[in-house]
Amino acid sequence: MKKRTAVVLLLFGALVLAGCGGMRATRFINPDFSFAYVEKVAVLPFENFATEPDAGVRATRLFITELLAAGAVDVVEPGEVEAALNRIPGVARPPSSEHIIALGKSLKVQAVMLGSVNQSETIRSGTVMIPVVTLDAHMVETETGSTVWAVTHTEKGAGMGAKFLGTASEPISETMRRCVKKIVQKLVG
Amino acid sequence: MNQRTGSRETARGGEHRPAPARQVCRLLGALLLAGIAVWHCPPAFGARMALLPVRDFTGDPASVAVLKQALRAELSVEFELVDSELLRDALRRWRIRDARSVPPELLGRVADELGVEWFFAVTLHRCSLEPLPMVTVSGQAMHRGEPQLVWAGFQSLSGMDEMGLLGRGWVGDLDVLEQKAAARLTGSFTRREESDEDSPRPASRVFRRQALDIGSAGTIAVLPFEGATGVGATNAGLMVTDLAYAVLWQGGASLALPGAVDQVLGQAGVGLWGGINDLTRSSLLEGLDAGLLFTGTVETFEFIRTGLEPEPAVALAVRLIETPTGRLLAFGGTERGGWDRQRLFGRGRVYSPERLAQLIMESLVADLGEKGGY
Repeated sequence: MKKRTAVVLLLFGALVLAGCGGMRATRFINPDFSFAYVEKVAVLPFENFATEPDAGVRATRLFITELLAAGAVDVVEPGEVEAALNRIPGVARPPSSEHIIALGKSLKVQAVMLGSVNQSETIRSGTVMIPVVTLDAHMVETETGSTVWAVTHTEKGAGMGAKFLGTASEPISETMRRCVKKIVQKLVG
Repeated sequence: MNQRTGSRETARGGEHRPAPARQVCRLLGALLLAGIAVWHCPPAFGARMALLPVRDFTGDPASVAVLKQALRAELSVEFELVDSELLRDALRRWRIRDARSVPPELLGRVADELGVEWFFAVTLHRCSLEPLPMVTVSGQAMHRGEPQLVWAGFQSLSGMDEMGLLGRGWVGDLDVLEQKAAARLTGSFTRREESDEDSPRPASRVFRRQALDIGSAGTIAVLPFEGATGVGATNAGLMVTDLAYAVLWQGGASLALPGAVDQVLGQAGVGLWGGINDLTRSSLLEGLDAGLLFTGTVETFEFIRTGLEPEPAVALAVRLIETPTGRLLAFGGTERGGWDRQRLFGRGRVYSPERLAQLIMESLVADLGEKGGY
């Protein structure tokens, strides 16, 4: 009897954990690039393709915080990145390879991080509201301007409680935080 | 051996006098305490003060007039206020439009001409009936000859802050709210009133390289916050910049005068939000001796719920930069809704976005001094 209860509890726990999560990330890594060479990176403001107007700014901030907290690389102060972008004439968003090389020389960084928020919305599934965030991030090295790492990750924010019991889902900012954290873990982990 | 005299000195041979090193420590400690007491002591009673023209972000001259009157009434209890027309003429003569952002030397000349010791500058950020009656003001005090900001404060009140059962305590009159805000602001300056701490601070996520005591970190220059909110971004940025001054001052920070920061940025040919390059940093270091820069972004500043009881949502990000190297010392932010920490019967709700921003900023600044990393 005890064994059966334990199995039921384990299954329930697994279901709860499975409810809060996302899709498996799509990832690219350039096998010829030595990531140990990267000591300092510049994070460019993320583009925002989502309906939420402040999603790009928030994703950029979370990405910088998580990168700094991971301790693997140093990050250039965002104000300096903004000033450097303003100094380069005709720079587009996202910048071209030439502009990234120029940015690398100007900021003395080995790589530039670019990204976009592809989705940041709360979708309705029956009576349940599920926050969904999809982020795309890539690292471009500043010697040749080529992409050396890229990842796309989707994170959903409704647990089993929300799905089956109708309790409130987590705030979308929390879903985005988790999505960014997982992306950074894939980079430095 | 006598238990009461069983100290180290007694054990070494009955020496009761403190060692010279200890005496020096005591003297330094006393000097430090005296310094803190002088720094935080109320301004001298009867000192001459110039109440600078209210900086208005509301476009409502009637509200400005009410606030000005309330401020004069409050401040005249403890200060000898300069006549408004005399001050206006002096500011015109010196071609000063916004007295808060003038360089300290120019302010010194105005002080000499009017014979004032103190300048009190107030900004009216919000005074509106929709979606709720709300008033937000910030204030800063400058002292003649003092290169740092002497005081900074911030008050945001809504008509529902003190509402009890059956709508009792609801304030729908903006004049009443303005008078209350003026009294609280001047009260926190003269130390008659402390700010209320009834709302819990939100949890924030700040990365920091090391715990930082902002009270002993030297001069900090607050750079204008960037508004990334779409509608009303500029005003939100300016409001949060004033808020940062107030919260950092509360934390004991030594702050460069806003006018001096504007002057250095202007001389370096940098716009308000043009980014910080090495030239700007070296100008701020040389001109103001500011070893640290504090700035950030207003990411969200809006109402997410409307109706009878609107709910604000605010997201702020801050960063602390080491001026000589440009290194990020702390970086982080947080977001919060006005009802996130509500208790039974809706107690603990925050209705004003400015008050919510204040709670967030207090949490972020407190995080700078926390031990351990992110």
